[in-house]
Amino acid sequence: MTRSELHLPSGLERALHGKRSPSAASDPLRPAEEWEVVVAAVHLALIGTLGERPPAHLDLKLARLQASSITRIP
Amino acid sequence: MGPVRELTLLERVSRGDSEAVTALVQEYTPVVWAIARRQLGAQCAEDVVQEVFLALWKNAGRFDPALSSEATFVATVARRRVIDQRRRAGRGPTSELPDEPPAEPDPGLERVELCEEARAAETALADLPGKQREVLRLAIVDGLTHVEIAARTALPLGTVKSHVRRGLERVRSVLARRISPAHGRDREERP
Repeated sequence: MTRSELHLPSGLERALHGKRSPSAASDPLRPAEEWEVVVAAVHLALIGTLGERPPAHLDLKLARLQASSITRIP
Repeated sequence: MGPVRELTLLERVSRGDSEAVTALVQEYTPVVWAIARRQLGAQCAEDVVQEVFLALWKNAGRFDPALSSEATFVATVARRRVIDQRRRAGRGPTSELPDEPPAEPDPGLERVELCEEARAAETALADLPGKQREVLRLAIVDGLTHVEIAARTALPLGTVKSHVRRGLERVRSVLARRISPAHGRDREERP
């Protein structure tokens, strides 16, 4: 193992553990960085094609949220 | 002029299509829920799932299909929210979480076809040794730190780090070969 392998590239570190700057972390829809796409793709592959069934009451909460937000959705 | 492609759900949401809002929830709630529940516990995950969808609904127009697939974008947004939530709670690693066992596969759920990036990742992961896949699962799905993974697997810390780095570099190289840099842009055209 080389010395450099003991340190993750900064972009990979951010993709795994998030940005260190709180202001950057406040925009969850900022464009994805390359390592974020890699990590998200691995996450999806490891979860598999099914995901998990959420509790029924969460479906209801989302439906209520949708109903109350629908007029504000662009 | 190339073939006209179908709009993604987020693109339809951004155009005010209310049916797409419902479809987006149906399509991605199991994935967003799985990402959040595993790292935050069920109670906190419920709040995060709602935050994720609210953010997606309000900012659907910011999705750029040239950068990633819709599923990968949604997973990225969910991962960011989970990381933010853990920071807000003053909790980096998952060590203080209630023990959340992996959910059993639910045959009642409709199978969602893996997006292009996830299929490429699945291919790359299949070539990795089992121990390396396990380290990646603990790091990405469970959100454990490298130190925690070393303790959990009895692997040296340096080995854990190299497993993470080499494994993800392998996935990145497969993604780079299989996914066009301008994701979908060069073969599809907006109507």
